Amino acid sequence: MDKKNAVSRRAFLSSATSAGVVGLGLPLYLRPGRARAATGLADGMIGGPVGFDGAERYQYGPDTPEGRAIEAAKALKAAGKALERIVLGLSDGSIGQITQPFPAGAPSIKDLWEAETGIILDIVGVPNGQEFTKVMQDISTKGGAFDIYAVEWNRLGDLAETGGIVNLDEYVAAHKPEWDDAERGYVGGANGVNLMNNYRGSTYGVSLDGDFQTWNHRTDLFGDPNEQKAFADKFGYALAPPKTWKQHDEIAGFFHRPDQGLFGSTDLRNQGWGYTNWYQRYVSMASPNQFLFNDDGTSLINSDNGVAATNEYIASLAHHSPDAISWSWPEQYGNFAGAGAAMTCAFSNLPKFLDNAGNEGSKVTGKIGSHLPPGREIDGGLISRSVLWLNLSASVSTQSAHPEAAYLLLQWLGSSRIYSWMTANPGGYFDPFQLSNFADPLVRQTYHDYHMDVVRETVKRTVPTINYPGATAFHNALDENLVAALTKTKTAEQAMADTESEWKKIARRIGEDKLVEAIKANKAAWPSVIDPV
Amino acid sequence: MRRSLPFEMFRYAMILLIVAISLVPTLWMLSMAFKPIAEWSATGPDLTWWPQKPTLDNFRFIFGQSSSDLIVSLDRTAVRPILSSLLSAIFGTLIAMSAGTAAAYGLSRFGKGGNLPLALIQLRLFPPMAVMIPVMIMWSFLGLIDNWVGLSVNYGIVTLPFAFWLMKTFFDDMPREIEDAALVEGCTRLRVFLKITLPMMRPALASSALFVFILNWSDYLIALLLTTRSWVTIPVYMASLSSSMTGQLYGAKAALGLIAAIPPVILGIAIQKHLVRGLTFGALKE
Repeated sequence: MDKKNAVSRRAFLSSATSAGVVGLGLPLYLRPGRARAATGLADGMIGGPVGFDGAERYQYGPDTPEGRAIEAAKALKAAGKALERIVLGLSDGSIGQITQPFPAGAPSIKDLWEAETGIILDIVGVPNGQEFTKVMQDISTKGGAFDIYAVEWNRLGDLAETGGIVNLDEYVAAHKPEWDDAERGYVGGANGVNLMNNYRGSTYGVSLDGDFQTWNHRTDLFGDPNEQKAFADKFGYALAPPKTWKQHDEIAGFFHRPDQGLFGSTDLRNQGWGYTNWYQRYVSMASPNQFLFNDDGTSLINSDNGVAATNEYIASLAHHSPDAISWSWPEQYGNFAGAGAAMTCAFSNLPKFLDNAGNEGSKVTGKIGSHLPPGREIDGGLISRSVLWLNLSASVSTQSAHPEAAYLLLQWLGSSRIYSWMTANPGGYFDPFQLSNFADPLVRQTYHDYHMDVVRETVKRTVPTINYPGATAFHNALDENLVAALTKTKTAEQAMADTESEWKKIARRIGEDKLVEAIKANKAAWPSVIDPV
Repeated sequence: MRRSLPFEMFRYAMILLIVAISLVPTLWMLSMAFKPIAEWSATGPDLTWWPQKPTLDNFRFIFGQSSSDLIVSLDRTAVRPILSSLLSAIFGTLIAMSAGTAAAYGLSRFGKGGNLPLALIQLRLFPPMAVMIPVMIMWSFLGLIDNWVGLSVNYGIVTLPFAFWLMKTFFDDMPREIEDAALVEGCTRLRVFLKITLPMMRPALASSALFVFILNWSDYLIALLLTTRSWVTIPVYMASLSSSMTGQLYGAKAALGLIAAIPPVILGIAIQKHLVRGLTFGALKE
């Protein structure tokens, strides 16, 4: 035997044993499930956040909207059909929810997307209130500064008519976002999707918000025995969150003490926002709803109900700040944080920000309650209505070089798992709107249990604002006339008559046939809930 | 002229009153810049003129040292907007003053230029916003959107009529005999302009430049439309200083406002000796 190649019995046994262990053990060690466990993902999951308690709720498998979006984005990138960088134009105040890790130990949404797809997400801040201006600027100048626009929900019709945003039907059919999922999807199922994402039957946007205007009150004031007694003595019924507009106005008047730095109710009255309160008063004037238009497109606001709602709206200035007409939401939030009002109506995120131990400047932490919108007793039922207003919705720019990749980001961001995780993050304005959001423990922790249930019920009682073509013009006409009525340069009757006259001109300009079709689609999403008195 | 004592007392009382009213916003901004967040929107007895607990937190905040990670609006500091405002306002002023001064001199001395005064005044016959859509399309084509060069050129064009008309008035009022004397002595026209006319025009240049600079420095709408991210200016950046936690970030806005007031004040002080002369230049005709 050649001495050079000789192997000792001990060496042979040792090598054979090692080879056996490696040969048998390695496949076990490398099995897919174990590989996932090493990344922290639950069994069967292909992606999602890790590193914090409950992270598995936001992880996803291959057959979910999130999983399909990620896999498709990776495939596009591998085939050279995806962007290296997706540019998203977004309100300044919302960026934190995508860029700040939440909760402790989690990655940020942006980091997770980039890690899973290799596509950089570049977010460009847009000043609050300037979103539509910036988008129209990009479309009209063909600037191509963004792949994705995020604007108010009811601008979709106007944007679609400009040809500046992509019809997403093809991508929706291919990647199946499941927005109407009965357990996790939009409130109202297909109707909800149609309302928030579609224009004339096609998908043009992906909702990234839930701006259902929600009512809040101060529990320290409403629960004060002295206040309760004084109120009951004066009005003959117990002090409680108002169920009707009459009660609301009486309670607001009762608490209105400007000399003590306390206003009765600070729901907004300024241009661009004030009509959200007018809407609530107007649409609850009839059962089940007082519509803005007939099915044939005739305006209904120049009527007894329209004038009565406007007169009520004007009278309510009496329990507001003297600066109400110039207050926007930042003043409103600042005032409420400083314990400056008994009630207000705001975005559903008000308790998230102001009933928050981390907000050192808030004097109302632990002192906020929520209630359903005030309504009216009609035919033995209570008609209580809120309004959907602002609500950021994202659309893909027709100037984007790879619109499909941009859509896939939106499908992923707007899906029920990622969106729940995102909306729980206190770093921005995106609010819950999907069924899974309302039930999610992390969202409920951030938004508070007492508030989440009220928001979910408010959603069921919410009417959409105008989202037809010409929505901007319709709202401007209404808005300008309401401000004129508030400043007493017009009577309520004149304001409604002038609004109707302007609406007729706008309708003629847009094309009445097109409008009638859109009005019907909009009305299909109006609520039918009637509460017991 | 002798005035009665009651009249003098009344006069000074009125002067003091007007000065006090004029100073209120500035003093309020000064005070707010040093107030902690709890005092920003105080009402009733908590509302005080001066900060009860003065702090520099507002200045730290806009330069990126937030005391709370929950203040949601601040995704960029004030450094870049300050730089953007400085560059665009300074170069915009240089463009307007250079072109405006040269055009005004030519027209004043040689009567050349035909319809130039009318053409230039046309730029002010309508608000700049009325032409912003075509301007944005051109600027976009030229790659000048979100770029301080693009902003400077626009500022230069928008404020050119002011520079031209102010300087033309000053040139018209300057005695030509001085220039003629220099020409007779053998000076070239260019040398006369550079060595005699311009030095004599220093007060006029100073007051015109300050006026044009303040116009450029305080612009909001043009900057809002021509910038998106990298080169937003102070006024545009200031508009983003609000948060759901606190509402308007009054303290941060006041701190930034105080900083924004510094360049015009420094410029004003630096050219103060020329300023009064410039403002009264040509007030008396011979």
